[in-house]
This record gives sequence, structure tokens and C-alpha cells, in this order.
Amino acid sequence: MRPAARLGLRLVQSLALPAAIVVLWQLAAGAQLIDPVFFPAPLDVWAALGQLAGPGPMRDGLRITVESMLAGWVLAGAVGVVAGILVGRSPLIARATGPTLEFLRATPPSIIVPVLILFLGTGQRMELAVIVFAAVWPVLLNTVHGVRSTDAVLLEAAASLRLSRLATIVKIVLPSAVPSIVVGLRISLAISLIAAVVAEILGSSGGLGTFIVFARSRFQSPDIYAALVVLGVIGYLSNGLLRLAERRALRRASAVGAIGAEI
Amino acid sequence: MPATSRHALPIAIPFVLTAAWETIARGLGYDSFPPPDRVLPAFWALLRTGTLWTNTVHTLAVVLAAWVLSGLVGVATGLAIGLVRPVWRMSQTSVEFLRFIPPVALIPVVIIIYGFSNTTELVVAAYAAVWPVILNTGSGVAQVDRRLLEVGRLLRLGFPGVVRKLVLPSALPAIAVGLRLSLAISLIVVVTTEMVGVPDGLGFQLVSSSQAIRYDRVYAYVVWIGNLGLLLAVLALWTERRLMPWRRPARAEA
Amino acid sequence: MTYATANGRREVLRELSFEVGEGQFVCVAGPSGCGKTTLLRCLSGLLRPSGGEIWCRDRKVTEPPPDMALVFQDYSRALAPWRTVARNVQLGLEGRLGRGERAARTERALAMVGLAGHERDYPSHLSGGMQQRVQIARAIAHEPAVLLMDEPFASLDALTRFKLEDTLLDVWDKLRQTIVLVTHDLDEAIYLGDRVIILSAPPTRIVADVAIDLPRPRDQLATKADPRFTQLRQQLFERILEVEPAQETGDAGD
Repeated sequence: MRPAARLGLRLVQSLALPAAIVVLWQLAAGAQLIDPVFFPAPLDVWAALGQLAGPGPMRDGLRITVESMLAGWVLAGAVGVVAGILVGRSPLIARATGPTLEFLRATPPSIIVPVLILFLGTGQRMELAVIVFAAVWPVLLNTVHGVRSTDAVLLEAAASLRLSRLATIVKIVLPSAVPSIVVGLRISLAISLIAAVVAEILGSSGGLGTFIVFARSRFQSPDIYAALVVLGVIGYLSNGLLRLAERRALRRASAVGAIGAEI
Repeated sequence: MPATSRHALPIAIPFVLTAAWETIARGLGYDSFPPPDRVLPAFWALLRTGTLWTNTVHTLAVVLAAWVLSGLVGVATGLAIGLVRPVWRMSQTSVEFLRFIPPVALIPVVIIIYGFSNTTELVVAAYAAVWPVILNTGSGVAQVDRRLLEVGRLLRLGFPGVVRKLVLPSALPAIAVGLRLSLAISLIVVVTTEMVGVPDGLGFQLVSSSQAIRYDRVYAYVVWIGNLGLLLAVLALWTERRLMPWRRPARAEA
Repeated sequence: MTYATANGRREVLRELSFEVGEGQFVCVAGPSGCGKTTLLRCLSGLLRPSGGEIWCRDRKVTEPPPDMALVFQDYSRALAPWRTVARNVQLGLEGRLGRGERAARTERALAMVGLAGHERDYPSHLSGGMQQRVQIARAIAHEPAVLLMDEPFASLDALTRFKLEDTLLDVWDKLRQTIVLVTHDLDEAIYLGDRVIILSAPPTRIVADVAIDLPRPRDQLATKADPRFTQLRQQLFERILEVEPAQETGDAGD
């Protein structure tokens, strides 16, 4: 089979099930077998998605959510990589901060929203803080793992060339940690989206989360479902893009080490 | 480094942070940032009246129920996905799409359907917690060594025997990672659902304390829930190690 | 139960056909990539040959038969890492034998391969040679009439290999099952077998089928110092060189 044909077949295979469900759903809704407030007809949801074509609350919400997600992700990535290098390179720092980091990591990000609101208000700054708090962990842990799995021979080679501490990190440690870091960043982006919506729902900081809360208070189910579809698409696309980046990074790293667990 | 400071340091850091919190909070004198010596009495009061206890029991019960539910559904689905290639090919896109819908965003929808009830908490948390189990079980099952499957054929274990004796135990480490992630996610989502609307449990108490401007209680709940999260994580890790004595420790995770 | 007739089996692979008598120890040797492993996989019933038939004790082999066992080269992949040594040996006995009989057979098999006292160890805690002993114990615990071995000692260091060869000879001396052992090591083939079959490079055919008339019990030092050993070795080696012009064949890991 030609590659194009095989790709086409796989596409058909993967879309058959969701398509069938949507069609059945539409038929059930048309025959009034299901309550349109609980499960609005797919065509109504499609109509609600039409709001994205013009300016309005849904498009604003999409913009704010994506902006916050990306900004928070970049911040979390930067913090995570730097902290990961420190923890990964220094046994002292690792041991000293271990229990504290474990505690912070185990704290559900949503519960710090009320506290953050006290300090930062309900705006986008609060939202960014929530995202960073939630999304920093995968990057941090994967960076630590990547840094620690740097080839010992490479490090000895760097030492024999009398590379400075900074040069060793920049030229040896970071490059060999890249595949691991990229995995962390991908997981982290998915969490950024979730944390953005958490902040938007709990703190009304705008975005699609807040859009959903308003839609619910007016029982506009098609709007809620439309927002869910948009969120799913954002997550699906951003994960897909980063997976491509991840494959590249892995291909470049000749020796593929064990990478952190999935999700 | 001397042996005493090796062990003292990790324990010292939280104390130092608490002391810093005390000093800064006193210095600032904000209502919204009470020092630990005002949070601690609030915590004791909640403990003595039983409020903390009943709400903790409620939250943990829902967390465990959601975890068990997502574990059963997730392992079964993951088995199907990992064992039968066409099932994976047909469901891959749907799985990748559905698992990225933020579970919090589902809360409003589920509240419309099930109202402000325990069922809402359970459904949202199980939905969120099922994905890591499905994906880790699926990949664990798909990666079972083919040699071992041949051994199963040679020993004529039969399909159920191969699944029970070879496939599932082989995938157990991956399943355990999935279950551990799923437990953490259950707690996060249950608490969040309680914060968003279901009037019960620790999340609801946290939000009500905030609305009642009882910031001492807010901080008490935050620290308490954080500790619960840590406790669940430690318990899960401990159980995992006990369950798999053939595995050496020291592995990375995300 | 006794089999009155002279039971044997016939194997046809391309233009390949041979019979092995009951209780005979046959070694199959040949260059890399000649299909030794494929041959063994066909014999064991793991692989259905595209043409020709395999008969074992008056029955046509279409799937792994109950009275046959196979020992793989890659012991670490063929053992279940989550099962202890004893439970690995019992893998195929569970549900077929009573608890007492199972335990007795396990004990006997482990004692025979020199692993008494290691029942509760996990494979990952054992050396390669010991892991391979576990695999042999698992095979003989089934008390098979036919034991197939695919380069069982190829991944071990020389000293360990010699020890395991002697263990295998001891086991065979006690149980007298039919053994077909595939190896690329001519010395090993001559040292172990009653009969050595030499295969050619593809298209595979039998180049030599020689009875080994060395006295038993064999001994690593005495047997290999026997002039007859050297003679057999030279004779077989010449047969190989005759059919195969000096040519390096890359090992594709058949």
C-alpha cells in the first residue's frame, strides 16, 4: 500500500468511531430521546462554535486562555529547567529541598487559588501563578532525570578539558538532558491548559473557563459543549506539535535513555 | 558532610520556611496573610469540633471511590487497547482528544446532569483519573516481551492464562505508575469539584472559609490538603515498592 | 505407560529431513543464519512450516505439544522477572498438578540443576548461568519426552558454559529424554551429542550426519583430550569447509 493510502486508511479508522457517536447523538437529539439541556444536539454545538468566526466573548475567551497557557508554560519551563539543573547537579540541594518539593508537588494547584486571589487579585497574574505552580513539576523532574543521566565519561572528558562549571552545564549537561526536558515540556503544556481553566473557573480571570461558568448560569448548553470542544482541540493540537518536537529531539540524541513515564 | 546534618537538612528546610512565614506575616500584619501561630489554633479548633474530620472522610471516600472506578475501567480498557491493535487504531484519536479536555471544564456540565451531588464529584474525578491508567496499561501491555508470550504458548497456558500470568504482571510496573498518577489526579479533581460547586468536603470548606473572611482557616485547609496529597503519594509509592520486590528502586518518573 | 514402538520424529525443512530416535541426544550445528533457530521453532510447534511436516511420537506437530519443552538462549527474557525461581519453574504446572506434586517436581528439578536453596530468589538477583539453570529446571519439571534447546549456552562465559554442559549431561543421564540442541559451537556439539547434524548455509541442507562414538560419561578434560575427539572435530570441520567456501557471513541473529 502506498504511504498516502495507508495514512488515509488510518485517518478513516481513527475517525470512524467518533463520527459514528456524533451521528447517533444527533439522531437521538433529533428524535428528542435525550434532554437538550444535558446533551445538546451536535448541530447546535456546531452552530455555537460559529461564534468563533466573529468577535465576541468566545473568541476573547479563546485568546485569553491560549495566551495564559503559553505564557505560564514558558515561565514554568524556565523555572523548571533552572531548578532542575540545580537539583540534578547538586546532591546537597537535592537532599535539602526534597521533602519540601514533594509537599508542594502533592498540593492540588486549585487550592492555592483562593490564597493567590488574596495577593494577586482575580486577573491574569493570578492565573499565571497557578499555571506555573501546576506545570513546573514535569519539567523539573524530567530535567533532574536528564541531568543525572548525563554520560559519566562525557563529564570526565569535560573535567579533563578543564571546562568551567558553567561551561560544563551549557556544553555537556544541558544538551544531553534535552530529550528528557522536551518530554517534560510536553506534559507541562497539557497541565498548563488545565491549570489555566482551573484559574478561570475558580477566579473568573476571563478565558474559556469563565465563558463556561457564564454559559452555565444561563443554561446555554451548546455554548458549554462548544467551549469543551475548543479546549479539546487546543490540547490535542499542542500535544501533537510537541510530540513532533520530541521525536526530533530524540532522533538527534543518539543514545535514547529511559525517559520519564507517560502523561 | 557529617551524618547528622545529612538527615537534619531536609527536615530543617520546612521549619525554616515556617519561621520565615511567621516573621514576614507578623511584619506585614495583613489580614490575608496570618502567621502560623494564628493558623495553628484555627486548625486545632477545626479538629476539635470534628469539622475537619468529617470533611476529610468525605473527600477521601470520594477520592478512593473515583480511584477504584478509574482503575478498574482504565485497566480493562488499557488491556483491550494493548492486546488488540485495531482497538487502539480506532480509538487513538478519540483518546488523545478526550484526555486533553480539562476536567474542571466538565464540572459545569456534570453539575447540570447530576446536580450538586457526590455523583458529580465521582464522575468528574473518575473521568480525569482514568487516562493515565488507560495509557500506561496500554503501553505496558503492548510492550510485553514477545519471548515471554512464546513461553506462554510452549507451556500451553491458553489466552486467559497468558493474560493473567504473563501479560498483566509484565505490565504491572506501568499500571502502577498509571494508578499512582490517577490517585493524585483524583484528589486534585475531587477537591476542585468541591470548590467549584458541590457543597461538601474539604474543597467546599476551603472556599467557604475564604468567603467568610476566615483566612486563618483558609491556610489551615491549604496546608492540611497539601499534607493529605503528600500522604497519598507516599502511601502509593510505598505500596508500589512492596508489591514489586523484584524491581530495584531508583527510577525516574514524571 | 510405555511406548512399544520405536518412536521418533521426522523433520522436513526445505530439503531437510531427519529422524531422531527416542532418548537420543542430537546436536544440530551450522553457520550463522542457516536457519537453526527457525528449525527449532518449527520443531517446537511455535512456527508452522510453509511446507512439510513435523511428527513427534506418532503425532503431527501443529502447536506446542504437551510432552515437549524448549529452552531459549536469552534466559533473561524467557523468565518472568516478577516470579521467584520456584514460581518460574511452576509457571506451566499451575492448575494442572496438585500443590504437593508441583512442589515435589520443582524441588527435584531445581536440585537436578544445582539450584537447591534458591527457590525464593528473583531471577534478576541471579547470575546469567544460574538464570539459565532456572530455565532448564522449568523445562524438565514438565518431564518432557523431548527437550529442545536453542543455543542454550551461547550467551554465557566459557567456564560457566562448561559447567552447564556437564549439568545438562547429568540431567540427561538421569532422565534420558530426547534432546535436540542447536549450537554454532562444533566442540560443544561433539562433546554433548550422540550424533551431530551439520547444516549448510541457505539453501539449508544436511551436510553431515555423524554418530559420535565417544565413551560416556564424558569429561571436559579427558573427552576433549581424546584423539577421537580431535579426529571427529577435524572430519566435521572439513565437511563444513567443503560446502562453504571461506566466506564471512554476518550474523543476523537468526
